[in-house]
Amino acid sequence: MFFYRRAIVSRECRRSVETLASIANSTGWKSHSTLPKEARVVICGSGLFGNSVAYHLVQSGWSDIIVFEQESKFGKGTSMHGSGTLALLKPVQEKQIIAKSMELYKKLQAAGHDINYEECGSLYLAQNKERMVLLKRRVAMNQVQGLDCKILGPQELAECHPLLNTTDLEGGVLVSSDATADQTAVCDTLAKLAMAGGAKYVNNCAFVNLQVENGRVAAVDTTLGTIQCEFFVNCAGMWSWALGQVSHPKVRIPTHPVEQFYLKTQQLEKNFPTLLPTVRDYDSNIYIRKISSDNSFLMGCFEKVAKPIFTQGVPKRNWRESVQLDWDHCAPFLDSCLKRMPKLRESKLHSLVNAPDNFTADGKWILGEAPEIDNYFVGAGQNGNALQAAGGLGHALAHWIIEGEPDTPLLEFDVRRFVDVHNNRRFLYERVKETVGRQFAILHPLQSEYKHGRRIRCSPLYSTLSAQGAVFGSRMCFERPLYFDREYKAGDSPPEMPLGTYWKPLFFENIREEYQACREGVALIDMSSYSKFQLTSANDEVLDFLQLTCSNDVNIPVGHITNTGMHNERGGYENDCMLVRQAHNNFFMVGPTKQQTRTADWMKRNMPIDYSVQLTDVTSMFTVLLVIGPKSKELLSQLTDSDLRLPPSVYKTISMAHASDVMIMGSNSTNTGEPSYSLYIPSEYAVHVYDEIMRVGKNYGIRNAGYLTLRQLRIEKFIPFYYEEIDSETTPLEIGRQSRVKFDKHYFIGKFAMQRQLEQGVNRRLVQFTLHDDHDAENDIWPYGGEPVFRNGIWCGATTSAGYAFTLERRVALGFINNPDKNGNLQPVTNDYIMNKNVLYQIDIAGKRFNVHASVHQPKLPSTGATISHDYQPTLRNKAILQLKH
Amino acid sequence: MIFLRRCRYFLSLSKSLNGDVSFGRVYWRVHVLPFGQVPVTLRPYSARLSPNEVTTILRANENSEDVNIGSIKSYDSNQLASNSPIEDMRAEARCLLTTGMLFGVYDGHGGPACAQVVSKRLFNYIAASLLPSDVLHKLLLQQNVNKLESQFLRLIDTFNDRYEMVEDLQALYYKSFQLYLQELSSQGDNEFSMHSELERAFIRLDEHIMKEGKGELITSDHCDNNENLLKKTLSVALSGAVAAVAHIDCEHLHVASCGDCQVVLGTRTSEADDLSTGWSAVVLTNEHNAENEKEVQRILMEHPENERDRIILNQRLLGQLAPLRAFGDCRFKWTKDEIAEYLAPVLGQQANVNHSITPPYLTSKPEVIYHRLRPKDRFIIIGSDGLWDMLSPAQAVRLVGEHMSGKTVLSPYSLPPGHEDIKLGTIHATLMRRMEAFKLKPIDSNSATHLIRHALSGTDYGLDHNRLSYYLTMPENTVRLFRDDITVTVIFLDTDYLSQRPL
Repeated sequence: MFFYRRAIVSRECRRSVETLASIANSTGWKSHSTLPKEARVVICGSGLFGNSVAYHLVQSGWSDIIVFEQESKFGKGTSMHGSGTLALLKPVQEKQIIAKSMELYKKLQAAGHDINYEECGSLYLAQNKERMVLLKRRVAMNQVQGLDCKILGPQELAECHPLLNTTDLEGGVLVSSDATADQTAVCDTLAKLAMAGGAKYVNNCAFVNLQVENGRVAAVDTTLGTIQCEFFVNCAGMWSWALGQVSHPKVRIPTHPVEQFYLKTQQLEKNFPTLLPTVRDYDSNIYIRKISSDNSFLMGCFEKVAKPIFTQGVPKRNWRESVQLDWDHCAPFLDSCLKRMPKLRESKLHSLVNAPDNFTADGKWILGEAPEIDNYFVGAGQNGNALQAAGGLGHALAHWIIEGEPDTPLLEFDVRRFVDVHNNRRFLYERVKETVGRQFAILHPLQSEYKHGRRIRCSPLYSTLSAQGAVFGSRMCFERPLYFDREYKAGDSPPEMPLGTYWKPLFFENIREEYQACREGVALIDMSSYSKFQLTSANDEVLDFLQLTCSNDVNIPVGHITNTGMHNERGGYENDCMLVRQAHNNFFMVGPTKQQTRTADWMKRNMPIDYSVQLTDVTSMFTVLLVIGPKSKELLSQLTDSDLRLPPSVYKTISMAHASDVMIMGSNSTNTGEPSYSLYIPSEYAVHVYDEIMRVGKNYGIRNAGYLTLRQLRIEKFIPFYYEEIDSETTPLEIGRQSRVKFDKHYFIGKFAMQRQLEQGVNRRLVQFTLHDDHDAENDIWPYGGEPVFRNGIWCGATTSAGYAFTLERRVALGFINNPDKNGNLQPVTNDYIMNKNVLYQIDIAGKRFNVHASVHQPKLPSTGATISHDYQPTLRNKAILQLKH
Repeated sequence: MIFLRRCRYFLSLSKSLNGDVSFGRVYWRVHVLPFGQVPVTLRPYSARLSPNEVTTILRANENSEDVNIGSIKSYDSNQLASNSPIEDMRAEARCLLTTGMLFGVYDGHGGPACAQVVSKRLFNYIAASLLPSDVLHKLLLQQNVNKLESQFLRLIDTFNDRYEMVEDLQALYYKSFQLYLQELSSQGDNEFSMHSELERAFIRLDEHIMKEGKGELITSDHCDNNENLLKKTLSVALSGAVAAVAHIDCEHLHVASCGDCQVVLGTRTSEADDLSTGWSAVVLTNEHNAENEKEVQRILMEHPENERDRIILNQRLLGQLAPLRAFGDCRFKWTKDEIAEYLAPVLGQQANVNHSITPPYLTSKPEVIYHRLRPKDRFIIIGSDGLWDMLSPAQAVRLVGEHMSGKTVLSPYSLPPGHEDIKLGTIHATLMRRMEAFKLKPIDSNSATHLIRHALSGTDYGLDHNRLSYYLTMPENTVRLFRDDITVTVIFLDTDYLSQRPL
């Protein structure tokens, strides 16, 4: 079999060599064997991604580009293999990239390049209700954006594909504009066009080292010599992780190759229509496409537990020889394929191919400028379908190189979304086993935690909380308690989150109790995962720096706190944080968990180049406890002699129980709107303080709570969060945070854009939607964010996150709405436009529209009327003696 | 031609064969049934033994000990006879005066005599070689005082030793051993070298066997019937045995091997808890046979150039003997005169070996390999070639690994030959049968039995009972064509212990 596999590889090699030869004949295809001394952009790797970046740079008028390749032929890494499928029914951000790719390929095909682009459509199958909801949710969001998709029943599905067995299906979706293309031909065409535009290709040239000067790319050492360059682009595919390790400092590219299998049949005897839709049977983790040219089929899988390969490093040469076939691993997938299309049993085997591809730590593409080295760009992690991503990502990366930032928000794919843990090879080995299957899995919002690569970054309280039934979720590999399992008894094995659902989450009643404690009593939440920084300077440099980057006035008295955004020139949030002034030249900053790397990088890029401002990441120095609820003040007063009557904008450093140096902040710091205190505890005191609070808190009915409760609280209170509502394209004015922008300040980044919005109005606004009684919490599908919103039947926006408002006893959601006129141009969104009483708002939850109420104001929640409680209240024998005074 | 006995000798002492010598070992391999295939001539076969009966046969010789000494956690061993009586032997023992343990597998040929004797004596020789001379002095003195002549010095403590030497031989061997002790004690304390001590023990034991075969060490006071004794010692010297011995002391593993037994180390390549995958096999021995280029060169260099093209004939030493190192086999060690004097009277014409001009051609000098055990080394398999004919080292390690994980793992599936037009449905059917098999738990708790069972009946889709039953019920005169005696010892190492040892 080993030899057989090689035979196939060589057959494909031969074919692509022929293709290359024909291109060479027609266009003077030429590769260079010597390396120029300098170039503006040096791209490492001539796979699909590298070629696409080169092509897009050339299209934008840059031509001083060198693409080098370690092998003797171009595009001979993983780009050679692939299903050749293009699918659009994806989450919005991904879909935008894929649509861009398809647009490009269509254009190439129209221009006469033979890339075999065929709009054969696809069928997305659902075997169960949850999957059907997922498809309907995607259809809802994509349909309003113009994608032609139809929800079909089993019978209709069978009519779309003559081989399909639909007996076990719940339903499915037909997307007619989905397509297939010849991956190798696209790769070659992009290279050819890049060359025609002036990019030089050098092969047999391997990366040796990267020269860095002043934190910026200076030159690339290769086996053929050194090239001075301004930009370096790492598109080295499976080798990109190792390449990142070579430079100083190392660049994090958390990817790991995984074995990917697909099977081809020989030509079938019976003839089928030339174009048949590609079938994606997500629940069986398989896809099956017809190869139009020869009446054969190709089937592949994204299996639940995948097989990582090359953990010890990818061989530089002849890596294919160390790849082996594993039929047993393919057995479940072959079984599923033959169940889905039983007639293929009679077809003859052409080949089984093991074509490893690079998967990332979270299954999403990695793109952008590395935080470690300026002008070092990364495009990596195709996650099993290079064709789908290459066009769109190449476009985005080229734009990023030229303009310094991407043209669309790419937060999800930003190379700065990782910490060092993600790049650990052993971690990646564990994690990518899972990220393959997650490409096809139903990832229920908030209910789809990773199984592998867990318990890595933990708060000192992890074990304590775990022993009390905490169910954890990981963010940035940091374990955060999501909620506490009521049923858990001490000594049981750690509770696990139940299976996810689009209806009411199975663990929901746990949250209700935690919520009640937060609203009416007192609860404790471990919030240690938030990123924390210390900013200092010798004199006032740090203040100047912050005044330049923050929209709020940060020249606050020492001992005060302020919340502020940090923005880009478009006014969009680069960071949303809390600043604590600890001394005139010292600020403590707390930001979102996921922003740990990105914030630091963004600030460093905007700092004075004389290093007068120092930034230190102190995330792991502090354990953060949020004591929340009307009884929190009384409880904490028992543990400290300090006065806890803190004005909202003031913090104190106090002793708590026997621990010293605990920073305590009032309600302002929490973004929950509840009376509460945040305690920033030096980590060595964390267990002590926690135990003391719990001991004393017993008398107050204190209980543990988790992040999901916090989330309900903030959504109910209409408080937007970074990564959900807020991103680099969202300005304070759009989310009702005008009051935190000080226009009377001197220039700060983004001021002009915001001023323009102030004058002209904003084109989108964050709104809180409240569902009416027609939404039955027990029987209807819940909103989770990502649902389209309709105003008088016209699509006007989408929700971003949703929760349950326990006090209002309604589902609530946050979301943006805009104001398109008849031509689709966006008009300013005013309060009147939103709050117009004669307007009907609806949101579409998996195909069903629900009436909602929209508001731009924080809801007025009834006061919980917390009574002052005491530890002990004596009960009098004879009540008649005393009477209440009035 | 398939009725050629597969044996190391083409001329057996008991039953001489008329076969053509040109059918060497290479042809033997043809008769090993490859996975998933049964020669057409053998079909159809029906199950003649019930699964229980098969299991009873397979487990007859199994043995497990929880040792828990140093780095050794436990061991499993088992034997399955093909010859009657079995020509393979095994031995496991703890050294009483030093801290190590010894494990040996011996594969006899031309009768079981030599292997039996070597398995009984070799560990004593090795254990004695490890002792410093002052300890030896003391031991010898004690022995002289106590006059416990009929007993060996207690240098080792054997496990599961089911045989005892007959009395007259015991006395003779005791005397020979005393000679060895005297030699060792008179050496003085030179720098100790495990390599040379192991070599010395192997070589000296063989020398003693040779001498005893000639009657040189037999004196009248030993026994009433010297002629009878000489018959025995001669049969020992005439038959032969290959040996592989592992000495394990903490993290130090020494393997001494002469002949074609193999020692294989099972090593983890993955950190994962799932023991069913992520193994690699490290072979710690070189087989001394004609396929070993270096070994062939060694022998050729020891003899005059004009003999070169006759020393290895048909993959065998002088056209007769498959292993190129062995105990016994005096016909390849003695000079023409010695053969004429001691052997010819008994064997007549058969005593001579063709082309033997400048003996000795055969040595018992072992090849010694040292390996420092690491925490990722989990077990050691010692097997006679009966096992390695059926399983590759990698397969064997996989099997023991999966046995440790409690799951069933099969050899990777590969398409049958001539698969150009194979239908997906056909592949699918086989893969589904394999998936069923993967769910099964190993039948045997003893990993050596597990290996033997899989060696005999492993197929693409799991164990084939018919095949196993067929192998076990073959008539005595043909069974040797299809399987040799199999002896396996699997030694499990203590990972926790090894991870605490200094690197």
